Amino acid sequence: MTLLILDLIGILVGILFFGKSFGARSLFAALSFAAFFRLYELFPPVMPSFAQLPWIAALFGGVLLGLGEGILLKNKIASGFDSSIALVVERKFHVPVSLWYLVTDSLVLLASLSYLPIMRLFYTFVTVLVSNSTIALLGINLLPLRGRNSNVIAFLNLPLKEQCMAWSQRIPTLYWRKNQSMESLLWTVEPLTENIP
Amino acid sequence: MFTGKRSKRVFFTLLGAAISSFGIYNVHAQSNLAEGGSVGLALLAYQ
Repeated sequence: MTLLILDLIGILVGILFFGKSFGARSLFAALSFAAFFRLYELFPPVMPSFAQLPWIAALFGGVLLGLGEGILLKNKIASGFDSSIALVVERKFHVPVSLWYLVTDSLVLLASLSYLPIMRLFYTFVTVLVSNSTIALLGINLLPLRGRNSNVIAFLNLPLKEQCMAWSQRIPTLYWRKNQSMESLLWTVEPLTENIP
Repeated sequence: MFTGKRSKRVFFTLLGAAISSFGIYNVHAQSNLAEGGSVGLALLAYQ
């Protein structure tokens, strides 16, 4: 119930900034998320329990969550309170979604220390790191797309050493974007919310 | 009704929701991992 209220507040804030169509999309996403959850609950878990191998659970779960959330965010859809607020913050203050997520998730986990054992929270923090990196990776165009074919050719014509340098310089932009020199060189880092109508 | 851009968006919405709820139910919940984000916040309020 609390979650439902939180999600509705988040989506309402989103509507204020991005309009009604954003609200419709996000409501649809939240509903389909709940529907899929219900569907999975009908069957016994298909994955073995990783309770003895929390590292595997943290990494695998992180990639899955990041992939799912990242696909939604890339299409400018929020599925709940946190992602809606994250999109608004990115639009208003130019803070990347993944960085904002990292901060808010860490705060929530810190607060959860009050009722959960620290080791459980540690593995959850690993999940948070992995999923946010996945979101950040999805949010960045790793290969120049549409109308940037000339950039691909220019990139491939560079010596291998310079190709590697271009890649290594991109790593900081996972968490902080707008590296102007890199942007003008080869790649464009598109803000997730750039094309919201 | 669902053509072009819209049907693509619906498809990606369903795909994203399917993957992330699969992760939460089949990996996180089975392995007793905690949650961040709004789910974690709701759990916190519930305690």
